[in-house]
Amino acid sequence: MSYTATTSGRYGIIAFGSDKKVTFHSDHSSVVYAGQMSVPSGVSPVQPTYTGDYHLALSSSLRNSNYDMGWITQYEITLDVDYMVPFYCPDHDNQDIAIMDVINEGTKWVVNLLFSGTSSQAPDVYAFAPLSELPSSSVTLNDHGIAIYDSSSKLLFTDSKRPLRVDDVVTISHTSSIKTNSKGTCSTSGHNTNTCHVDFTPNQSNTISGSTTNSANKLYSIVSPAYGGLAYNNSASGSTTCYVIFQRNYSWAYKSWASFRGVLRHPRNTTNHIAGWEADFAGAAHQYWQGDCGFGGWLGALIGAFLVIFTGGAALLVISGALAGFAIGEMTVGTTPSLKAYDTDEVFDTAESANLMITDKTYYGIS
Amino acid sequence: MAYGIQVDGDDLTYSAFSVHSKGTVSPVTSGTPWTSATAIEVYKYIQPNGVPYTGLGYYWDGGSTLTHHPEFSEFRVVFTPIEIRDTSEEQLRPYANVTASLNRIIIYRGNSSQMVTHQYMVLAR
Repeated sequence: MSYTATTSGRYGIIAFGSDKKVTFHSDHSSVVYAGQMSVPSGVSPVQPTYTGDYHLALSSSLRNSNYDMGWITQYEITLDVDYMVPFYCPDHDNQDIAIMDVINEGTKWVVNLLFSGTSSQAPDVYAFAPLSELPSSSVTLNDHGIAIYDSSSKLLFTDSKRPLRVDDVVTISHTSSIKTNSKGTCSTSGHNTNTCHVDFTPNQSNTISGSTTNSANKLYSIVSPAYGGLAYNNSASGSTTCYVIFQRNYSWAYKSWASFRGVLRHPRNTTNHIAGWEADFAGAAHQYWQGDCGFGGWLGALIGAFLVIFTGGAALLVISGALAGFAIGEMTVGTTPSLKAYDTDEVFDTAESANLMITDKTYYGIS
Repeated sequence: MAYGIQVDGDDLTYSAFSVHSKGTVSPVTSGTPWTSATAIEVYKYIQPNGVPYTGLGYYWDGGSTLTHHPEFSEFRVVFTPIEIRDTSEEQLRPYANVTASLNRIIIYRGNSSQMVTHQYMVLAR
């Protein structure tokens, strides 16, 4: 099989930076800052938890201490382009962030994002897009300077829209497990209530060193592929004595889980990027049943039915309910994050690395 | 500034990414393990659990023109999903390998049960 090689740039203009790489090119559009994305009116960050049958309430402190939950929020921007690249700016040092989804609905772009900290510490998100795709109404040319068009009269570069100047591209990969140390146990039996919670706090991360020092002005872009979950199950059955000579049979089951996303942290004043894990959804449930006081009355059939509500589609229905307060305003079902419930520890999409691009707010006049 | 271009008083001494090419990465349809779309990309089938199937090799669409870009020295591929990834379906994202020595970019994708449609931009500088 043979191919014909062609070379671009026979005519036109190409500028190079001091690193001998291209700054602008009359055959290819520059990528420019297109605007800051905003949280839709009425949308507040959420920490969705399982609230279905037999659930155990997860207090705010438990979500943090035992489930390492972040906050999910949503951003949107009206941008009449076919291609968009989101960049985020952490709210504070060492904040964990993951872009979960990017959705395009007509001229609207939506980003679902997970972040650590408090609900009021959502990062800022900025949209970048090819200059050639931006409507002419959104580009104001200077009456001086430089403008470059391609053969189709599409604007490819202008001094009034600074091009995407990337300080560093870092190859990011997440660990193949989320947690390797003990979660602890919840093994209470014979009780019809349970306040026990195991510890799902991850202990696995990768530290990747780049060449650019992180600061409060840096912007980062990566749509993390990695996700997974941790789960814990325990159950038992037995009998207790009642009325001295009789037996009462009982059975209990406990289940909890946390769904995680691969997040990134960018410690300031270092060149490191830490690829770790943050939970986006968690749940715990405990079910107890006992028979009548008597000689028999074993509960085998009931035991088999314990906690089957947590698998497959039923859990998704519950999750949809958990996000009911989140999916309001401009958002639709199609932009609500998908959150998986887990029966066992597992990770997905960690086999391949992804590129993290780093730029700086000051290049675009972003304050 | 001793040489080069200055715009609005700022020296354009830095490099910046331009859009070399862009397109859509759709899931592989049933019975089609690979597809090539443009001259610089080749799709490769993703096996379940994210492990590439190594038996297929790299394919170039017959008759395609292999475009040469000596002015660019760095290529990066950005994938942007345009719809929700269903984690309950254990979906994967497409990914790319940049083979600098051959100036080729290979984009890998999954089948329809493993991924949703993504957009890609090949950025170059």
